[in-house]
Amino acid sequence: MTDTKTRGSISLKGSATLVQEFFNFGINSILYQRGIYPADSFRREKKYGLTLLVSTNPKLEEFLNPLLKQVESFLARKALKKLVVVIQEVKTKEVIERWEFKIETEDVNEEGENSTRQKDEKKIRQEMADVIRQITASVTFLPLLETACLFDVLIYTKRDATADTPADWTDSGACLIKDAEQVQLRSFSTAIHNVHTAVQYKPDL
Amino acid sequence: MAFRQQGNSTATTPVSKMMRGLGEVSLQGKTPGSAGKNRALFSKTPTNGGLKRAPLNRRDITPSRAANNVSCAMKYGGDRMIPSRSASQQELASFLMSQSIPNQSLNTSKSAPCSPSKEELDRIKFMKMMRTKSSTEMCDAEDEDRILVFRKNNAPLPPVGHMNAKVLYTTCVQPSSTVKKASRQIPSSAERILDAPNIIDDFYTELIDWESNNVLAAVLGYEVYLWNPDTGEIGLLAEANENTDLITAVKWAADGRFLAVGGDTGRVKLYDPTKNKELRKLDAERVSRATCMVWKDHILSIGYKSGQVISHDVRIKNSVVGVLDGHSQPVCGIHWSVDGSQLATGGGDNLVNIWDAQLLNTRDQDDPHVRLWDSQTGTLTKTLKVGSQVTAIRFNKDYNEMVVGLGRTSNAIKIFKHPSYTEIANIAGHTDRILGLSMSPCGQYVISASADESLRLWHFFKVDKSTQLLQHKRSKFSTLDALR
Repeated sequence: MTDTKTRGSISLKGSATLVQEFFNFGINSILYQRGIYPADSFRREKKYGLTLLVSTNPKLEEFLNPLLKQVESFLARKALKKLVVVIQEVKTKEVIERWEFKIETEDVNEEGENSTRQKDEKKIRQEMADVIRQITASVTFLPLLETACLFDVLIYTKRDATADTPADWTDSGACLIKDAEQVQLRSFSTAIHNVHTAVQYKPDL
Repeated sequence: MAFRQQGNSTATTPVSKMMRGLGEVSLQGKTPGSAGKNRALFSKTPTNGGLKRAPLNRRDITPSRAANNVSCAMKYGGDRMIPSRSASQQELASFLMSQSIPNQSLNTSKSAPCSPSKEELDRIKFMKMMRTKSSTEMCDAEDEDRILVFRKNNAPLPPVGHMNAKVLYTTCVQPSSTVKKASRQIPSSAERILDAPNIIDDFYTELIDWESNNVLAAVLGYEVYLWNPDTGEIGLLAEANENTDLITAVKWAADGRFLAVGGDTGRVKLYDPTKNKELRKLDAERVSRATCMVWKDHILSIGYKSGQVISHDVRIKNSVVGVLDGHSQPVCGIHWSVDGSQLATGGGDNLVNIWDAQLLNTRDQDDPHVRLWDSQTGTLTKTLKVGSQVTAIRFNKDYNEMVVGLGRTSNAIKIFKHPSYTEIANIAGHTDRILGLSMSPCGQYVISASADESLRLWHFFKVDKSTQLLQHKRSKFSTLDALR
């Protein structure tokens, strides 16, 4: 009885790790599917019951690893409200695609009472897999990116929780796209963090 | 006669089509039995006169099925959900969707027959249909939020020349996927052999060039010949002064309008092959034998025996625009990268210099190895041992293969498959070392020049006739059929 209880319970920290892991595969999937980097710089990895592609570009890893680490710490402090992958043209710097992960955090304590929620990890991974599957499928309706593009990662945080933000982060605008079209993808929940995914793109007129 | 009337009533002139879209479809839906019956009769008379006046539409082509559907629904009395297609205005919907120009006759609202905002309305309708919404309605960051960016614009840039769009289309476009790799016959004998007397037995030269124009330029001693593979014509383009000006390099400009001819003294001349006329001389100070040349638009870069590389802008009087000193031995290979941003030069000093960046291949002259470098990262990706001196390398895009010409003692041509670089063919034909390789503009043929005083034409990269790729190339270049 107790065994099933501990297996199904999830803490804030554990949830942050799960969500961070999802962002890692999510961002890599976006970069692969949208062709930001050449396909041969990705290797296959089994995750969530899917075969996902993860970049092998050392410079990209150098960029993503600290980013994800700090995102995880924001998540564990309940400070992260949104994570946005912005895709822009290299030449014009025009934003042409925004992948938005909106995060709602449940009111839980870091330790002691009311610090865990019940949800089967298998179920969480299944939900994450569904979102990643949708990211993969989204290439069918998104316009082709015809010029070289680069990406940036934005986060929306609570102002009061950013006092000791690492120097890597600087203030920024929202990088919105004018008259964008938005497609809402699935959401997943770790019972602590609810993540809603959406993609906005410059319509191909 | 009754058929004829029926035919007339369903004739699909644009107006009647529209009318039906608006009203008659639903009307027909209400009387399925009779309509179905009539149409079933109608289907047995394909040569009906009424039909000839207008193109068939879908309803006319498959009438019997619609009739069956209707009768089924009636028989089983709605026990199963069978979509009633006749009730929905499918044709109108698809017509409205596919019609990009606002069709005024289709605007059902009489009050605003040609409203200027029609297009805008259409767009909104389309967006609604796609269940998308404009992001301007979205509320973004709240006041107490902070938006932060991680190392702004510091994500690594995609490698030069990377095309995003290609990701979707990398499979099934290459002829190699339609022609079975295993069954492709690589001919082991030459398609044609041309006699090449007095060819200089020195591979620090560039004696044949075919690549950018469907005319082969070949240097035989002091003379430059042009051979047109379409017609088989051979013409003498230029003759240099014997004893003083051995010709050592030829190169077509990309559009095939000029031929650059470099000599032993380092002087390079430009010729117009259509008029057999010398256009200008390019001189530079203290130069030695021109060993190789490459064009990029109007820039001609020349590699010299001294190791120097000099770039000329052929449009201006003082043509020298750049001098690159990077080799202590003769320059033996010079190439622009695919995107034209970098120039790679290979020298007899076993160095490959990349000016302003990089390129993918290199040849090492004193070394029985082929080394492949990933120019983006600067790492050595592959070393192949081929057993003899490597004298020439060419890549074939269609098959992703590499052709290597070898020196003494094998005198062979080898073909390797990318990316594994397994040897798929070893062709021995020449009796002396290979001096140079050149690929035809269509990419199917390779010509090799050898010290055995012959040029041999090989049909290594046969493209499947059914592929569009070939069609494309046919239209781009004059056909090579005359060769066969």
